[in-house]
Amino acid sequence: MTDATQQRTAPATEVIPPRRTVLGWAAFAFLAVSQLIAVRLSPPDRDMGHLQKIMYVHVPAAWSSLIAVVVVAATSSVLYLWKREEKYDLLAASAAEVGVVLMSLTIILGSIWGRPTWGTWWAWDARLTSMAVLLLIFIGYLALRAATDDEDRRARWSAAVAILGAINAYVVYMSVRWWRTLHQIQSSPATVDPAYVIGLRLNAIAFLLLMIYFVSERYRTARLERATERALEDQALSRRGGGEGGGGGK
Amino acid sequence: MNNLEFVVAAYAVTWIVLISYAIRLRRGETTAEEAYARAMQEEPR
Repeated sequence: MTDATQQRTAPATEVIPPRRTVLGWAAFAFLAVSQLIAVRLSPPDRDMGHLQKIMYVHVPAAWSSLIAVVVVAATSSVLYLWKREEKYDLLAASAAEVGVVLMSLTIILGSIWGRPTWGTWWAWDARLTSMAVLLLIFIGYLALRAATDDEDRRARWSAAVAILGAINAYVVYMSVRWWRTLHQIQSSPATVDPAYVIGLRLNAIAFLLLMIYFVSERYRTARLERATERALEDQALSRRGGGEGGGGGK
Repeated sequence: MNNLEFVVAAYAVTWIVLISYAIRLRRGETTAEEAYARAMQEEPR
């Protein structure tokens, strides 16, 4: 086997994760059923009326976005800095992108909920502001990755930003306890009326499944893109090496 | 106090964002798969 052949076949050993089509359909179907059950079963709230039903999309979107950026993106970033394995960097980037989508959705839904209940689309409240800062940190994370060509530097710098974001995520979570805010305290099965617990739990599971599906699909695409880049680089090097007498290699 | 239009808007926005992102992911994945297949089929010169 020649050097050129070895270089060309190397990317074929890349482990590309399988598509998660079934998970995607199942997650969307579960979300539809969960929303139907939650909306049908929960009585109108004494103060908010039917507006309470926005909780079933706003709160699970917020939880899943924080899980994406803290549990997946920041944890993978720490693992990357520790083990220096590419898969952790790609997983962190995939989760960060999904986190940005879900955080944006959370803020939009909060705004739709805030208008009729608080009388305003937006307030510079501790919870809303800290969430907006977290969103900006992870938009910055994605911008940094897009602007940095060197793979190792991109991975190290973005890992640092993800860890910084995780610290801010803790501020987001605690903001309603640390400061007097317009936003209510965290909605959870422990703090909401028992009539709303089942709907909240079902929708939280549905959003969690969707988040897992999105991250796994994005991660698979990232692995494919990286494998393609490697294959093309290896081919270019082998052609160059062949032209210069077979001395091409990394 | 009903404000049902806000409830409908919230659920509509949720589905639009989630389905749009799922479609975008699937398209990106298909493009990446095709590029990967082409790269693997390239013959060495």
